[in-house]
Amino acid sequence: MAGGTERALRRRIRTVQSTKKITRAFELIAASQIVRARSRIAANRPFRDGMASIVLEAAEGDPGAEKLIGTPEDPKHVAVVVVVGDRGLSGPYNSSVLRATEALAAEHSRRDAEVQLVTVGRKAVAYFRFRGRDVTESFTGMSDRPSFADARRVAAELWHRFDADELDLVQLVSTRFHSAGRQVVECHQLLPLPDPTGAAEATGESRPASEQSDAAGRGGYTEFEPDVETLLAHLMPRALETEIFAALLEASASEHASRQRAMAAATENADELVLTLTRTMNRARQDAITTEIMEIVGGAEALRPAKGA
Amino acid sequence: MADGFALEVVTPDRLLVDAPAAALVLRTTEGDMTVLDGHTSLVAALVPGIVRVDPVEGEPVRLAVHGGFLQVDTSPANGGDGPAGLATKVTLLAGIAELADEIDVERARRAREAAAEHIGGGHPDRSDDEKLSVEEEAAAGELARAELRLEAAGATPA
Repeated sequence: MAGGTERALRRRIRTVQSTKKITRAFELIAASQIVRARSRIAANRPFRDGMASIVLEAAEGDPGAEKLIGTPEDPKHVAVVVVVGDRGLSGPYNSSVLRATEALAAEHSRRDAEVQLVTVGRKAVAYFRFRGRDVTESFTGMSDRPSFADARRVAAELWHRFDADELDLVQLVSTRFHSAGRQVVECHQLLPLPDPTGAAEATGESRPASEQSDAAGRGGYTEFEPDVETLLAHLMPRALETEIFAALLEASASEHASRQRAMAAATENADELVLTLTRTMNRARQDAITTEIMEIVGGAEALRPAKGA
Repeated sequence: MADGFALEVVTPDRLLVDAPAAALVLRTTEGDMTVLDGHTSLVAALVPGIVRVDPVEGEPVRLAVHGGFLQVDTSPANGGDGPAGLATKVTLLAGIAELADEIDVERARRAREAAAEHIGGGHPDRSDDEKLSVEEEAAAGELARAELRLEAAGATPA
């Protein structure tokens, strides 16, 4: 009976130990992925900054870019792009993004706006499909190591709809990678491009003024080839790709960071569990031994008077 | 003026060129142009083509650039943050671009053949014509890119 408990515990310890090996392996993989993902973010930065700078300059040169730049007052057709991972085992990474998305979608629904969901990552499709929500478009297989071509596919779809006036506003919910220890779920406007002049509440009145001051700062005159409207039309889809690519890279780095943390915690928990189980097992074994000794002593005691007599 | 201008050629994955340059020869949607130091502020769209960079020091560099954008920034606001504190900052952004020296000629050849075959092997009588055109478009893009690579690498396009 007591030996049975011991055997069961021994098996349990073995299970926990092999689970620990798996979580440790995941942790190490994630840790190495973070390094790579971070270097990719760093390598992408010049492109991102360059694109932002070009868009800013082109937008300043084109006074008729209202449809493309700024924030619409009351958007009726909104697309929300959700970026999560393809796999779980990454702590709260996926669920916190999905929760933020739900909140955002609810907010739009309250205003009677139609919300289309565009998902990146298997976990997002699974989540929304399971809840019977329509997913307009879904992309998978790009969370681990996003390529620029992946970003292009997502951007092409969104741009197509936006350009056809099917959408007034495109927002992105994803995780931004601030540092290895800090990743934040952020909501970010993709289309129209957020007013790049930096004046957060730039309204119709205040914009020309800011344009003038900026233009003065740039020496007043910039040539465009081809003309600025055509150029901006070329530029917008590329700028969107760039934004999405940057978001995918950051999301990927965040996912790996989150997974590493979750797996490190799991490994630690496994250690603790093994310790507790080992103690319990030892006590069970000791109990069994004590019981046996008691039985032997009891038996010997019972025999003694017979011998002594 | 002999200092040239600060040049960056950037793709989403890496910084291809980051050095002071004396001249940059490229093709915009409006035609061929050369950027020299003292160029006015400019934003331009590039068509796929070969870009030549004449660095201040060293040999000219050729790149295959598959479309992109050029920005010439002469504003004092850029603070001359180029490596040598140069006044003009030129940035070339390209979704896809390669240094001519790094192009795998064999691979480009194979890609060209595969793409050419794909276009030639299409069935014109298939009813699902939209699907076909998308595929063919992709193949045509692939073909154009492969040919540009071969050209940039100096391999004669057969």
